Amino acid sequence: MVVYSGKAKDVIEVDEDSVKIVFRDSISAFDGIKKEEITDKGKINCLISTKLFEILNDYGFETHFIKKLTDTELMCKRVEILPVEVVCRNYSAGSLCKRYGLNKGIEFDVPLIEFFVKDDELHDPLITSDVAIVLGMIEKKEAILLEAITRAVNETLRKIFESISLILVDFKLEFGKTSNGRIVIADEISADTMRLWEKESGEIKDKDRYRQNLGDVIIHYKDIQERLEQIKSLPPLHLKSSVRVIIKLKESVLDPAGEVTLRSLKRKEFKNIEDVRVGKSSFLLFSETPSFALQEKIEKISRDILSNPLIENHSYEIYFGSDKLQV
Amino acid sequence: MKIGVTKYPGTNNEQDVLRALSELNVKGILVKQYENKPLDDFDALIIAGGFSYGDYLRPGALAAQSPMMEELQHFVDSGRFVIGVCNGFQILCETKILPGVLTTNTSTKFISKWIYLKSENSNSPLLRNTNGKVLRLPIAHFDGRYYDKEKEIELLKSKNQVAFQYCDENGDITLESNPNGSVNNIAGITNSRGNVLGLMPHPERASFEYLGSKDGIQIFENLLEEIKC
Amino acid sequence: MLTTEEYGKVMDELGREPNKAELAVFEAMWSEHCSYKSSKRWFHLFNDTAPYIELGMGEGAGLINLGDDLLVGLGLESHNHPSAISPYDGAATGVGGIIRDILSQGCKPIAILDSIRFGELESPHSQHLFENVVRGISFYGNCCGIPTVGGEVEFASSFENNCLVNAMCVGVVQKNKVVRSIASKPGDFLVLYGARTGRDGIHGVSFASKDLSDRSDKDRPAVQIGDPLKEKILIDVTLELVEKELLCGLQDLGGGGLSCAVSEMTQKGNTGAIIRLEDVPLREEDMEPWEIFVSESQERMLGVVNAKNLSIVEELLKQRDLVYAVIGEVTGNSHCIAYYKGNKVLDLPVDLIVEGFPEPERSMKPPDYINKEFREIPEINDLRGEILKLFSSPNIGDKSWVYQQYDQHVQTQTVYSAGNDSAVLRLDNEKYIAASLDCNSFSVYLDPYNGTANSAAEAMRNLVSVGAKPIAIVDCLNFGNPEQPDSYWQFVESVKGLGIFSHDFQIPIVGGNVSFYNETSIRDQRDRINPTPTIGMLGIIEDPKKIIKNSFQKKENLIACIGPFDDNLNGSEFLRYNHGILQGKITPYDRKREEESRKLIEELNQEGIIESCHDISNGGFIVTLAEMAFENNIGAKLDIEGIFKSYRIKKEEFLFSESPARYIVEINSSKFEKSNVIQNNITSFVLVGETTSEQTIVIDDNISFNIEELREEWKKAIPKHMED
Repeated sequence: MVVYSGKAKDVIEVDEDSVKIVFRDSISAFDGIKKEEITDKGKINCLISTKLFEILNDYGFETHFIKKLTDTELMCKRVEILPVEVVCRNYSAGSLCKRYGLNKGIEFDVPLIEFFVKDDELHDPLITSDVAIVLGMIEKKEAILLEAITRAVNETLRKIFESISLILVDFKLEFGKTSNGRIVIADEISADTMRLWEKESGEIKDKDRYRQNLGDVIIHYKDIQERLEQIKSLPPLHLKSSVRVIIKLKESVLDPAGEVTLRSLKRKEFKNIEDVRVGKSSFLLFSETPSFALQEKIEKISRDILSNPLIENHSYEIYFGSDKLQV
Repeated sequence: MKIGVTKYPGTNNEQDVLRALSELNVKGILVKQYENKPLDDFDALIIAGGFSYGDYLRPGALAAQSPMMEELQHFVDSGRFVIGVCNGFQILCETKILPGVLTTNTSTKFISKWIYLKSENSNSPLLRNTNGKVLRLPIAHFDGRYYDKEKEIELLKSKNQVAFQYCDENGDITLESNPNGSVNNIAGITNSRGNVLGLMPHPERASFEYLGSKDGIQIFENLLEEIKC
Repeated sequence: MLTTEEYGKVMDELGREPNKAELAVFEAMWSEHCSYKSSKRWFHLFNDTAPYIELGMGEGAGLINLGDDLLVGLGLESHNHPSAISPYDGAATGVGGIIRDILSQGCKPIAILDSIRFGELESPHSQHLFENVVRGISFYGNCCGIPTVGGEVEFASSFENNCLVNAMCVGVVQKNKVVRSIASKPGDFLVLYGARTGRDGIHGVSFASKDLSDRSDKDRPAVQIGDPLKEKILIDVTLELVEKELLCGLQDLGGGGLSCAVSEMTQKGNTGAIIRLEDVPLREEDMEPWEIFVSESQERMLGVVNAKNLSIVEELLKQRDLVYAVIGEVTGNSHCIAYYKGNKVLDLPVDLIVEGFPEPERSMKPPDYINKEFREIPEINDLRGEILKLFSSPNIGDKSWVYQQYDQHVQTQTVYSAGNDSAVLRLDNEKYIAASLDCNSFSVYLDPYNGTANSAAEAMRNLVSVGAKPIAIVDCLNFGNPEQPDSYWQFVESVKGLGIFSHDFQIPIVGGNVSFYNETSIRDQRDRINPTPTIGMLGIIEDPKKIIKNSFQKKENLIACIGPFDDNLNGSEFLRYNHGILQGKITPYDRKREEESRKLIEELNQEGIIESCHDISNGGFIVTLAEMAFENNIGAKLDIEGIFKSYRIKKEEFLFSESPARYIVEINSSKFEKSNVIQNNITSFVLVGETTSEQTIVIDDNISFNIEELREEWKKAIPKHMED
């Protein structure tokens, strides 16, 4: 049964927990206004996706990818795709340049993260995480996790492409929720969903060739795929996640430290101060990539060890990297 | 008779407990965290006070995560006796072997002083001969405020699990005699079976005439009595 | 910074420029704090010997033999400057430092006493310092499992910008287990264990050896952060190493860090050392060699270990999860040589490091105020009101706000804790010792010589009034800038006073510390502390049955005053707190009177007729009397009219004078008549009233108090400033 049919892929149900994703040879741009068929394009993107998902799985990311079935078919976990997609940009290009009138190719010190609504009719508009949360598309906790995962994927893919002389300009990730609520990286990661430039010449290697009518789309896709196939061993990346856990006393529990602080603040004539609650904040550094599994681990640590649930509530935020200042 | 006395990094009352036991001519055995002695070898366990792991996260929280404490539930289920004093009480609550939690004193200060205690209606053999008496013991803690939800406290009372309450010299349970803001002046509790006792005051520091009180030694005598049976 | 003279001395001795690391060592080791360069020339004035002294000044602990070869170790140190900048951590690490000092001789720490001083409690800044110093001491001492059993607190405006935090530690060690801070055998290994080394406290000693000025807030990294859990593990492991006799030498890392421990231990042992700085376990990876060598990170000890024991020591440290490293060896060539990754970074003769500094010439002259005439005592219209006011002075009031934050009972040896005249501890061998820590900075200010001798005598009286015999002294001399002639004069006079006392009463000084530069210059305005020679004294109680209580025991007992009556109110809390007067001459130290009073108390105690005793100090007779009444709610009715006539003193002088050599005793009335001691000393023994079952203190027909009324003022004196 076809669960979903997209512009370049079909998703077919295998069983309750898994699906088959079939890559077709169609290519389209500008919300489907421009489209055509390119021979082997489905196969090449399927192979690129396979390789990149394998790499991400190896580095400890949680993805929907299970295995490659044929050169155009992947076996994946069955997921509910989240209504927002996440874009990460290392250099200015594409819609960002148009939106802000920027020159192409400006390198960002800190990669930019943007959320977009997955909706062709609305032309996939940009959305802030606040709006996405208010509209119920994602939870706050999820928004933070998606950003952290995307940054970690960026760090990983950047290094991988650099090793085959390609610059990762930007890319898009989609996420899905499995039947038991785990958030995983989903959809495809291919030349259709990212921008790649030749390191030396700056030559465009991705779907922009099609958008901009540069031609030789399949030659460049195939080149990317072949270079990826040459990668035999993965470099150690030492991916880290940093986490801030905040422990607060429950509202109903007396907070002597807060009361004493409040009294002394009032004594110092800081007017209009009504309440002080003193909490604890802990910083945790993990030598693993941000993921749903990490979130589960942190949930357990926060609930069972860092807090006493009888009197305390906890919350946490997960970030990619070891920069304590960020936390 | 083998009575274990626990020592974690930061425990500092273990020698005091051993000394109190030796007043009763019993040689307690130190159970050091790094030695990984199996608890099964012991007839009873006293979790001594101090600052296990510096009380750095929450009093007792890190000790409660140690392998020794994983064995403790089994030890308790077997009906053997456990007494947790001060930090030991905090550890027992953190392991959930005893209900509730011990949190910061309302004064937000460490309190070290002599207080009075009363035990009433407790059904634990560890409290034999203390019922109705007013005992004088010292306390020394920063986090001694016993707290649990109201209905849990009602449950404790109905099952006679409140071992000790802070009181005044005359045995009256008053607001003024509550040193740390504990709910219902609770200073110590037992589990429902009565084989686990946790208390904030230090019976081992009130086991010698020259320190000004021997009121605490009764608890250790009761323990020895029970093990002998 | 080295002075020009000091730098010249370094150049002369080395015959070359010192490099950066060497300069850092001299800056640390030749600082006032480490070298005692302005003070040591006066130490010969001290009595420092007695047959029972096993180890005197010069190492971490003085050791006193109580008999049975059980030694008591004593140490007393200041942590003033760090506490002024960062009160919580400064006080906490001060406690940590003195614990490791006595641990260096293998002593098990069994008690802490603290002497702390702040500005007037009305000042928010002083409240902040006071609150956090007490919390810091509480946090650290409690966590280490060492009871804090006594000490003193004083508030005076002179401490507003320079608070004082002096910590004393008492320990015990068997004579055959004593470890010295000496590295005497070439080939022995140097094992650094405890915490990792970080950048904290780099040049803390040179920081303690300069004025606290406007800029001190920027010096914050010079204050170390304490980790009492690490300290507790360090204590446990060290005592195990000592018990198993695995150490040939041991010293804690305090001021000057490794550079101090290595050079002092080798210098005492006529040896040298080779150190490999890259082996020191670091907390911050990019530290420079010189930083590693002088860092004052807390909770570290340097052990000297013979090759045959090295693997056992390493195994033990590993098992206890304590960071350690073998960082070098003892050599025979009297040089301290340090390498970093194969490069020699430092090569200095140890004698030069430890003793090579030129002693600076300091001039002295009495401060201007010393010779100022005294103003007349103001007329007193409302004596009752004056008394109530006096009880509300934080210096007089109840100190339980402080000491209840300290665990006083851990180790189950505390017979008398804080709140008594002295702490009394029962040791494992059933011996009883007493300890007190005292200074009256007001009387030292008015007269450094007599004030210091009287303060020492007060420490002695505190021991006597619990029935103890004083046997040893440790001191902590807190003074202003020694480069200022008047500050230096205060210091020298004070040392003379302590010296004469130590000879007069044959109580040897076994250790101490000098803290200069407790003086601030802000915009050329001098701000100097009252000179404060804090005196810690140890006593022994031969017979536990003879421990004296400090509060009234029974009604209808006789109350007597022992010691000379005096009309001198100068320096008293009454004049200072009630009337803002601090000037004039104090009653001089009088050996004979002190001796007579002490002897009388001791004889009365031997005779068994003393029910309680309390020495007269801060606040004078009336405060002493009330403090005796508070504990058991036993009142007193005085009969003193005759005294005013016979001794030609006024009532307020009788009530408020703090003149030395005096005690109040409660005598069992039924035994009074039969007492030979009293008959023989009838002139020095003046009955002043009797205890009553009524809870009142009746001074005369006109003035009386409910005990509760006084107690309330007394109880509130500190909390009213600190709580809402």
